[in-house]
Amino acid sequence: MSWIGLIFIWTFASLSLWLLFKEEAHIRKYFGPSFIASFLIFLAYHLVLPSTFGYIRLAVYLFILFGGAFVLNIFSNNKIAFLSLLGASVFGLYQLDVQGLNLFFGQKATAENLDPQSELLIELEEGQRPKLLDKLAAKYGFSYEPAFKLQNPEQSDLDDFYALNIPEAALDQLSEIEEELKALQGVESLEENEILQLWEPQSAGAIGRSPKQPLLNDPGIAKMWAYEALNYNGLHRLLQEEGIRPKKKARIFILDTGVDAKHEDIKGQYRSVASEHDTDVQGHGTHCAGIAAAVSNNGKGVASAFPSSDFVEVSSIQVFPRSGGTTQRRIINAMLLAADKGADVVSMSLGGPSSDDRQKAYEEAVRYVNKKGGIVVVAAGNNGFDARRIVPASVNGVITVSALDPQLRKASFSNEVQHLNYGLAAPGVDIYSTMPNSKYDKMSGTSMATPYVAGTLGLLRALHPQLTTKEAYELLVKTGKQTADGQKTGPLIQPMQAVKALK
Amino acid sequence: MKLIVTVIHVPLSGGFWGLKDDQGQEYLPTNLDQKYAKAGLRLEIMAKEAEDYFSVQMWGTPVEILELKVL
Repeated sequence: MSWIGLIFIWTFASLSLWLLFKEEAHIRKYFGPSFIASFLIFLAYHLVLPSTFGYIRLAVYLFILFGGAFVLNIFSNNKIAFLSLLGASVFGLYQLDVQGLNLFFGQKATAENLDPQSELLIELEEGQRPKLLDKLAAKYGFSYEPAFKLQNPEQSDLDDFYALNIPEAALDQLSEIEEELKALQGVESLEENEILQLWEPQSAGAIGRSPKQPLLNDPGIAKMWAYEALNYNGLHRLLQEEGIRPKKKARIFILDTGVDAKHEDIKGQYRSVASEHDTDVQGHGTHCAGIAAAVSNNGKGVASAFPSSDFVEVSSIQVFPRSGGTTQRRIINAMLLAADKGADVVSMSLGGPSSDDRQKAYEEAVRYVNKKGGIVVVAAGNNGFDARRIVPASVNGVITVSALDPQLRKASFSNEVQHLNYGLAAPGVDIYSTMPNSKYDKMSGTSMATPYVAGTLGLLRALHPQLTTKEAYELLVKTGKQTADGQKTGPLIQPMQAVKALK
Repeated sequence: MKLIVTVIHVPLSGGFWGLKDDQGQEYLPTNLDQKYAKAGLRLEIMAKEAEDYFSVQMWGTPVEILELKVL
């Protein structure tokens, strides 16, 4: 029950009883001041105190208050009937409030009414840093990001606003989270971020905004938590509704265990370099290829960032034998080959221990790829330590990707990228994607996070062919989502926001 | 180097077998025979660091096993 709801009921009851006992001065004298006091508090709440209520809603309140009291007064000759009706009215108003029907008091929005990407909006006091939210973010697992993207933040206070994304598992603790945030020193105000919608019927074929009703028809989306985390629904809607077309077909190279080129969900976007790279016994490379560029909306398997096959094509260079590891030389040769074949993005979900010599060799290879127009994206590694200790994750000029779990926390195994030049985060736990022989399965690792970034980079290159590594990284940081462990992982990429910012 | 390790299954990058010593150090064996791929198996190994070894696992220190004894 909201306190303003109680005040309203108090006001309503006081007025009604004052009218009922208007002839009996010794009783009336109690209800008159009671009504005036409660009514002033109620008015102050709406007119003076910060409130999200509008004047129309206040007018509705006043109509209910006075209209209801005067209607009750018709029965003032029959005190039993009057008091029964008054009791029923008070009970009805109370129920409307506690049931959260939002008809009268409307302060308590249910989680269903809130934006699933940013349930709460908070404003920090001037000069405060969002870091003060980290402790609560860690406790409840929520993430936050600037609520408004401003070109000139110095000209506005909007840069003090942050949008909080509460994980589904914590939504039943929403009230507790709100209370703790309000009590936090440095928080100026807090609002529930309700979705406002017009009351209009939806046709049977209309698409809901919930990720549970995806825009695409690929059945595996139900097992892809990354689909929601990366807001692929929003991305596909944006590309579709705004008719965004690629300026070129970008080429993503997967340097891995090979790719099953005949996979039902890959072949539509696959381009072979040589047949020796088009098979995959182990499955790792096929899994990565599906994450980066599975064919979307074909009624099969999984979906990627691309609405049609004219945005990107995916190619494979097999750098691993049937099982086991590989050598630096083989990897670097594959990088050079990819560059020579016109790679826009070279995705490498692989790594090994770092040394000065290895750093130097990889750096040269990355420089070569960059000169040829390619962007190199690599996995941070699965040791759970600082990614500076492995290569090519720590090589200058590459974008290095850490892994997040479904709660958007750093995956326990993921290496940290905070000391690298270009660190980003993407989903990397229980990732559902393609496996050889047109199968599908889940895998975990920074290996899986990397092709999500590769796919996004492919999309950006398709829309803006001249985009450099630095520009792409800065765009993805600017539009990315800050998560609870964002200090260690870098921001979670948000492809839709990146495409919007690119326009 | 001589190590006393336990064989563990690591569920990353599709799953693989790793070695962990009693101090928590992790090693990625480059040549572990399939017959020793059993979670919990205790081994005494003579191993050397694999210098030029890159993998999709990106986990632990890659080592080449030179000698092995089941404990």
